[in-house]
Amino acid sequence: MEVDKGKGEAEETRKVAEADRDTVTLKSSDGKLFEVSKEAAARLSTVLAGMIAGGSIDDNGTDLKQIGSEALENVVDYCNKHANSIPSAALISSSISFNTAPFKEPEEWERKFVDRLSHDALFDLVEAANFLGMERLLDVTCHKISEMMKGKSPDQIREVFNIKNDYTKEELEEIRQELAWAFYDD
Amino acid sequence: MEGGSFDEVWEEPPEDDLDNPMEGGSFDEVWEEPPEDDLDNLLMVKVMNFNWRCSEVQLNKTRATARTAGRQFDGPCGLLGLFPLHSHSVSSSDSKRGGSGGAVETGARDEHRPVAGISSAMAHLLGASSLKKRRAGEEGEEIEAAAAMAAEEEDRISELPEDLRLRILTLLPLRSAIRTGALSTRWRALWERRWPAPSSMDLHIRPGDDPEELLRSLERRGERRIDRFSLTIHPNKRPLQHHRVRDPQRFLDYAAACAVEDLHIDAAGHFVSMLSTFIFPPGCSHLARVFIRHTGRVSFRSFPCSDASRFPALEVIHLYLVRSVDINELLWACPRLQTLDLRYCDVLGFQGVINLESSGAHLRSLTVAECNRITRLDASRATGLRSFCLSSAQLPTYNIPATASLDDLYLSLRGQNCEPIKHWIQALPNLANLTVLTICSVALRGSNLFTDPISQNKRGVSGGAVEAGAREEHHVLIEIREWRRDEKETRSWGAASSSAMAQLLGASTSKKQRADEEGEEIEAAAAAEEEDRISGLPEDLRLRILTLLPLKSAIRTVARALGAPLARTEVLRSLERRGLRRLDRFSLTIERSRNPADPPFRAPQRFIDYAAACGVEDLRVDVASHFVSWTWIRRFTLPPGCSHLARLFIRHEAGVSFGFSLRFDAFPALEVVHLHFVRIDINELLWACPRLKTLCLRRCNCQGAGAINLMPARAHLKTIESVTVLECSGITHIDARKAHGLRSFRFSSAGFPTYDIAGTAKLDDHISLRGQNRKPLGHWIRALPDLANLTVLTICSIGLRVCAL
Repeated sequence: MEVDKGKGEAEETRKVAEADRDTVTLKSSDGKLFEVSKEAAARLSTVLAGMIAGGSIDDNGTDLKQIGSEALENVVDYCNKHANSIPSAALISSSISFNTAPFKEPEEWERKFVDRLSHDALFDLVEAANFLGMERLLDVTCHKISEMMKGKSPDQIREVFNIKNDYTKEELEEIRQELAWAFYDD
Repeated sequence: MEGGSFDEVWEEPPEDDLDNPMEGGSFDEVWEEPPEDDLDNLLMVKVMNFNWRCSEVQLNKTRATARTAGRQFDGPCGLLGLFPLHSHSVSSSDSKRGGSGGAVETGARDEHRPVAGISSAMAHLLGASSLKKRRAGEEGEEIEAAAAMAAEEEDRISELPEDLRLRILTLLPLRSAIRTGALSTRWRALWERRWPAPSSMDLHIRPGDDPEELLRSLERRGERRIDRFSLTIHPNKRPLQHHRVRDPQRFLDYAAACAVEDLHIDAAGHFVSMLSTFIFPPGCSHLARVFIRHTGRVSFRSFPCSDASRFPALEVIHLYLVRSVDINELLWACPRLQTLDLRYCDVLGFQGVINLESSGAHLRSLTVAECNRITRLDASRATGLRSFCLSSAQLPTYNIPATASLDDLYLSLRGQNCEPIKHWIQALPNLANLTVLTICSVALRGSNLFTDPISQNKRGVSGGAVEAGAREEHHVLIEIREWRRDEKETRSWGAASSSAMAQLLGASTSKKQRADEEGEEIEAAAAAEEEDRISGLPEDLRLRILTLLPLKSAIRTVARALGAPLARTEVLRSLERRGLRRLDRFSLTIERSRNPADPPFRAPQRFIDYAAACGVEDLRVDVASHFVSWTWIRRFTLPPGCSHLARLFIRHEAGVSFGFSLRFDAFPALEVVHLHFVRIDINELLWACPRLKTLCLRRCNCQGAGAINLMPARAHLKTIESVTVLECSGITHIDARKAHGLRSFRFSSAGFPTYDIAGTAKLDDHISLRGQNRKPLGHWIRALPDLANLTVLTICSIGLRVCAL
């Protein structure tokens, strides 16, 4: 009986382990736990893929100290909702860096996903995606930021991103003269 | 009399000339005499100054406008009141425009609108204004919200790691990427690294380089993204010895495959430059700027069907000396076009019609210059047009939307037919915002626009108002005569500006010039006794006005002495640095080297090409010591595009050719031709100079010319005043029967040529000839015209000895 019981317990734990195998628990810097399917995590994030393969996943929640709960929620949201439609991050060879691979325009749902974010949340998400090595999420968020810069004068960009102008007047003039055509109408 | 003062310069014994080449400076004596222009000359046609750096002009202009906006205009002011609108910074002097002989300068002034209205309009131009910011905010609410939030918080984007910022930059078009460089020091030059190096390629193929090798190295680099691609094929004098660029198209294909955004191609030296063809491959969707020069054919056609947005990002197009281009195919495919600049392009589109219908919405600047086959320019949808320049030897019709608010309008149409002038004046759009209006046309003479007597008051409201297009509350002033009366003052500006220009250009002024300036200052003092408000203007304003004056009124020079052989490449390089900016006078003197060890000077042609490309008006070349000067092999070529040339002095060049088949009107502004020790086909030159006034040939080799024909078929040499043909071989006859305006006729020859002068010509000065044959003597004495006005008659002939006068 004891053996059976033990067997049963072992089976139970195995079942739990099998159930666990589908998801990964991630822990944000402020201690909140999020679950994400293991397959999606491995596909979308090179870092998580490496951790899963290396067995350094903690069942009680893998500590991601660099990522706040809000950003992690967005990451998990992105993974869970759209895992299936995204090609594996692992398939994108790391040797092809972002500036040689052709850029694929974000799809409609991806646009919506980043459009609803606040300014801060967007940057938190960029940093989180960068930390986790999520190429596609980086593409989407960076695309969003570039959209915010496109066609604007430097003054307007500074205003949007709160960039402090630390040029002297002469330096600024020099830069503008150097490539005057780009500053044609501002 | 012009002829008189030339004597001082030219009557030196030519034998001495060989040994002591005349200094370039001594020409200046000729130039001191004040030009006596009448109204006809005033309307004389010159060609505009084409600015090579449009964007900078615009930049300067916008800034200048901003300054002006703050200024209150009170009350009507006339001539002087125009000037504040031209308030450009000194830096704009290198962006001078105009320089046109008949520049009819007009300012459209806005006197009655409240100043606030102006400043808001100006602010709109500036783009950095609150108005525009607000608009930008309206584009997306979340951006505004984001901005509001960000205002209280730190700068998140600059805090991002560099590779993330680079990643963002790769998603921006080149122009936006460059602009980020102005954000803050953390962004400075970051964009330059956004693609794997090199992100900007500047390829030069010089004689001796192997283009195949270059192509192979490009292939090794692979098709990675690139910002800028520039290809220059330098002239190759010996195509048989050096590698030839067999297939320049492959470079273009490579650039297109790398999704280039800024493309420059200059195939000046391609061995079949005029036959080379560039076909834009598909996949140029990132292209933002295109500059193409010196090519045969450029094709933008796409197969199988035209794609209306093949060039969705293309904003700037410059085509220069392109023989044939299917421009409408291109225009159809670039919906975001902002600047179109076509110069010296031969065949454009079907039947010379340029159609901007499909790409007009964003068009801000349109320049079509010296594309003489253009018959029609349709920009009726270009409501945002700010700058419009049209210059042509013909009279094309054009269509601009009446709602376009132009800052800058330049028309120079030199066609023979006066009929369409009413059309093109009436077709002018709304001129309320205009700061510079320049109209040059021989057609103006035939029109009755300027028949009103010109008022004598200094306020300068004169000429006739252009009625069409000018709304009642705006005054459009056309000022013609006032400036002319102020000739002396003008010359004093010339002195001021020449030193300023010399500083700007980094060019050394010769001592002779300085002497000239002193002379002019004396004149200025004399003129100062009158009320002189115009000289009181700030220098940059006066410089600006000067650029609008013809050369005669504003003599500025860039004299370069080519003494030491080492300096030659230096000079060429400094010229290259200067760029193709407008040039009034270019004087090239290559002195005889006393030291036989000096390397011979092999490339005077490049100087000529440079001067021509700068639209030079006064060209002097003295190549006394050129090592093959007398071998009859050396030729130099006046490239196409010399339509500004007003004076041409050439000495000691073995042969002069024109690099292309001259057509009527090739030198529309050429008035003075002095050729000394030159071999030339003189009749070909005369055919191309409809406005020639002075012709002076000394010791030229006109072998094969036979008769000099001063009355070609179209009889367009009516203006000729002075003919001097001395000791030229190969001339048997001078036919000047229709030169009724002839004032000076000098003819000296060891042979016994014949000549015909119009019986009605009133000669001041007549020198004749000597020869062995007595027979024609009676002929040429009888052929003398009306001698009533003659002041000097010199007849030297051994024939006189036997002739009973």
